[in-house]
Amino acid sequence: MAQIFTGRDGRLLLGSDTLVKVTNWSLQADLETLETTTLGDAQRSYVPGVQSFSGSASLLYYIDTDNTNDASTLLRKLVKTSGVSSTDTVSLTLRLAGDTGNNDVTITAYITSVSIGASVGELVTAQINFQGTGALTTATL
Amino acid sequence: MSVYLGSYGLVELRRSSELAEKLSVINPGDVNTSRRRFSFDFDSGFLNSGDQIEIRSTNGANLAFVDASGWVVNAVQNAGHWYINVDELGGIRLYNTFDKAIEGLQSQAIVLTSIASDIPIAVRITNLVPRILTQCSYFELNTTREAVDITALGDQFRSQYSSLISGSGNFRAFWEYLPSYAKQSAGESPHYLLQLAVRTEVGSKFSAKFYLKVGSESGTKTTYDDELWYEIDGIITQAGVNFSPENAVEISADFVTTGPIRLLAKTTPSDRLLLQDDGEILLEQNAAAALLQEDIV
Repeated sequence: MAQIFTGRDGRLLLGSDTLVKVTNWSLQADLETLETTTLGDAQRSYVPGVQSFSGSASLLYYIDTDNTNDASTLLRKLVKTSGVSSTDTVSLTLRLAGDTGNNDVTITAYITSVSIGASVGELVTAQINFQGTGALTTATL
Repeated sequence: MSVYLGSYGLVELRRSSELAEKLSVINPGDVNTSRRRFSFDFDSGFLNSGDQIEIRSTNGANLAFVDASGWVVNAVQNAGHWYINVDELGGIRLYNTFDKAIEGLQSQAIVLTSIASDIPIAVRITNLVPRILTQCSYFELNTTREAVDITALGDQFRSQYSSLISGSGNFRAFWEYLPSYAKQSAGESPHYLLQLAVRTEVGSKFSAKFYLKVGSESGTKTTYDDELWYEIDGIITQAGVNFSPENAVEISADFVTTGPIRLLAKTTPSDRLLLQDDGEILLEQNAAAALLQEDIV
């Protein structure tokens, strides 16, 4: 039976923990292409170059009943008093469907931008962008 | 179960202002003692007939242009409150009651005296007294609670979170520019709502109570005397008047609320003063006698 997926099926996991209040995430996968077209060719030709992965997510700034804040772990990777180091990577699993693990992309990434603010009549939300480093750990789309 | 008719409701308005103070100067030539009228520089619409204002000298000098008979203490002071009537040329007469100010008769105005030098003043619209909006035929007050969607990925049902409360509504009233003496001797005329909408300098702010139920006037204390009302501060956003040969002239005004919206009630108290444990307060001289309020049924 055919199946479609919606935000109800989606998840964003930090390591193995599901981030509770995420309203959306997106992933961008890119491939650089190196042109190999030569004189006399009638069509352009390419060879694959370097892959890159990046994405974004929106999180509600949210304190759970046990006083843990799911958004903070990600935000503190960039919003910190000391400089960002090579250890400040996060393992993000972008899950499209359920808890089966069959529709996942797991990426090791740096948080490259954080935008957070408070507005009258609106929830405090944080928008983050991340840049993948290295190969994907999991890709089971 | 009861059904209430609109005849139980009414609107009580209190004039308001968004401007703290207006600074100006009264020159000797601004005071016309024979006509009991004076003026100072203010923009059209800043003051309306019926407004209660405070005039204060900013250099501490007495307001010598107001005769001693115009003061509560029968002596000239450096600050005072009066009701005003503003004529078409911007001339101001002072009165000691609202209805006299609306009527605007020279003979009832407070006597003025000549001054020899300029008096710098600060004028503030105070309007402390609420008045019933006369000839009001309809009012509507809506309260709205915004809800913010906090549904997250993986949720099966939408989740909402309570956010800000706002209000809006409108009045309709049969147009009248003088208080309706037959109904309410010191009521606010509907024309004031039209004036309020075009006040540029002090804004269109007002305070109001919208009564859902007013007490009966039977003199008998029962639950019929309970009163329930909304209390708001509002800003007139639109006012209009329609003329047609076959209908009474009616004005309408839309408003939005600013600040808190309160739904209040005044219920008739029990006739006996009761202790917290429901016991009565008994007299020491007679253990069988309870302490009663004066208006016992």
